[in-house]
Amino acid sequence: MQNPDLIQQMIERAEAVQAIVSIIGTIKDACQYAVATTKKQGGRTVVAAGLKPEEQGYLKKECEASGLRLLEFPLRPHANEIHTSLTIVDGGVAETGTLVLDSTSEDVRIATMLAETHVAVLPALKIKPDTTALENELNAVLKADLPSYTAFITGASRTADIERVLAIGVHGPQELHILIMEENKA
Amino acid sequence: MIKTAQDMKSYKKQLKEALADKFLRSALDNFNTAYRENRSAVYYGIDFEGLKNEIAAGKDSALPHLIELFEEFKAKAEAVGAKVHTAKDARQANQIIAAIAKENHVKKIIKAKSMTAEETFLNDHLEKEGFTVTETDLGEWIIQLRGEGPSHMVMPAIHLSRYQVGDLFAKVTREKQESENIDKLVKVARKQLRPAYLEADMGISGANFAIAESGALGLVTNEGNMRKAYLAQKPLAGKEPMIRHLPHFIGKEHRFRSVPVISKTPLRDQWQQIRMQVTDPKYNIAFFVGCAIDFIYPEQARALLTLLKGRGVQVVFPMDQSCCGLPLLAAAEEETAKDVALQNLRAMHSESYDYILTLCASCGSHLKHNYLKMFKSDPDAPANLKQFTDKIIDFSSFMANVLDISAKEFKAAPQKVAYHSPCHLCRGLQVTVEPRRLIEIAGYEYVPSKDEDVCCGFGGSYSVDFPEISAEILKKKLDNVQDSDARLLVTDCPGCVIQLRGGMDKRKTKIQVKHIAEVLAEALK
Repeated sequence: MQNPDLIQQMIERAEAVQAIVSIIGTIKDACQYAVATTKKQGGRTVVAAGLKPEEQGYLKKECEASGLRLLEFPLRPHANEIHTSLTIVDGGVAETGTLVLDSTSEDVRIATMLAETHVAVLPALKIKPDTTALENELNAVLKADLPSYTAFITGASRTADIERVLAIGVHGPQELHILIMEENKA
Repeated sequence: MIKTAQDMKSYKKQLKEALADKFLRSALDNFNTAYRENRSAVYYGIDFEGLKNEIAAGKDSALPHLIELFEEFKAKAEAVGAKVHTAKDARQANQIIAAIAKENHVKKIIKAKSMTAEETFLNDHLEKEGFTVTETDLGEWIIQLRGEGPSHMVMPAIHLSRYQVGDLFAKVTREKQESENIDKLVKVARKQLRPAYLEADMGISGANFAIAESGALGLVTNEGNMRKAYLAQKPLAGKEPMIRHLPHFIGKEHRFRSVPVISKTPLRDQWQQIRMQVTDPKYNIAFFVGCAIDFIYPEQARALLTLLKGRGVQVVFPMDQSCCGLPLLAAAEEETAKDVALQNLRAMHSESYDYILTLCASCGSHLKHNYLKMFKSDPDAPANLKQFTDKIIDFSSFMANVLDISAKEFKAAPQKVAYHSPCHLCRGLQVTVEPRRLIEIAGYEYVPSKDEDVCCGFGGSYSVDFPEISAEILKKKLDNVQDSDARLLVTDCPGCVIQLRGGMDKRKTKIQVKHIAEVLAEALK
């Protein structure tokens, strides 16, 4: 079980950069959350990366029941119509409220860059106190002698380029939702 | 096409226009004061100083091995399919990028913010070659649409108000914009730029760091535009030889402050008469005078001798000492700066003294820190270098920490004193407590004023080259001091004294400007 203080720090730091954080028990909860959020925002499409086939099937049913379309890979042809992207991230950094996501696949990049809303599932056990604690995971990726792309995501896309006023959602997702998944909460 | 000054005359013209732009000036002022608060909010719970030092130490340790690290990076990056190009200068870098675009039949290019590309005028080059380039960082996009260069490296469009941006966006979209609402303006950029990403054939970005052992590039982006660009190798800008013209220090741009006269007898020629012989001294110190005190303000050194009387301190003036070399290093004359340093190292005989004392913050910080840096990877570095730099001490630290001086020795002079913290003292030597404590020990009433640790605008040769900006920085400094109700302005650096005293003199105020050694000596019983 994950240290509750670490989860608490992750929540605080992520909320400090305008992420919306919830605790969930299973991937099914995440699917329901993504569908409900999309409906609430008036979106019409959902895309998911990293789900198992049965989870993908469940999400598809949930989408259809709510009149939403689940987009399939490859995403390039759909690049302009992604409302919500649901991803399972590879790690979290509590010190800064950051998510770590292997984005070597172009579809993952498109899903997380071009969506209006990014819903990220963060397994509680994958939260680390700081980036130094990610050394082994990063080394495994960096020293594999394979092309790769790892994204560190902290909050939504932001700018202060006009009169230094903070504005959210300039290029990337306008909202970042983090669902911390604690299996025993199911 | 960016209209950038091509010579000093057109640069000065642009500079005057910028100084007359009230919006720009208040925007930059607000930024300069607000960023500290913002930063501490953002870094809440994080040891910012520790993190900064750690990163700086990492960069410093990589520098001496940069070439080997680059070779390792190149080999690793190429092993996973990247191509690494090297360019000898800006022109070649631009040519390489244009050639890559041509080979790949590129028409449209999107770009994330890169200050290196701004410096090499990459966009101009690519546009001349017939490519369409779209900047995607919001600030860079705004100034690209206006045909301007960035006014600030962090916030390129900080010189523009929301209304100017709104008018510009109205032209681009042919729709009226609600300029008051910055959120809506940002969404206009989001919508307009979206197709540019999807239609682009090539992406260009800078990189924040590169990792040699894995051939990885690190990119940091807050807007999310850079992630959308593909990666391009950041070119290294080359060094160009430069000829410096010495502008006249007496030109009309310099009339904002009086210029000091050169002393009739430099300190080195007075030394025989004023030197003190101490029997059985407690401390032996070598005095490093620096040009400003030697040739303009020998009285500051005489004040030091007055203060040291009867304290068992033997002061020696090594006659072969020279300029510390900082102005040379600032003018990129590294070789000459090293020659001068070697002369000082030979002259000062650090093995014979407990301390090497200087009254000049700039000399002190240069001697203590830059000497080590200049000889860091030099196999012929003098053996006594570390001993020399370890013994460098500034006036305030020596008086407050080494000597045991007490308030009893001073007459209470209930005069209100403002303090100016020299850049090279507070940020260079990191001495902040001692001078303020000395002012109070000497019986003065220290009155804090706004922005005490902000530059006075002198900056050595900076004020000679850019008198217009120097004058504006000085103006704020003197306004703050005048607001503080002080009658005396005290500082630890003869360079700052040149600027501050010259400025106060022009204002015809009753506020006197003095080196801290002078005000201490005057307050002795």
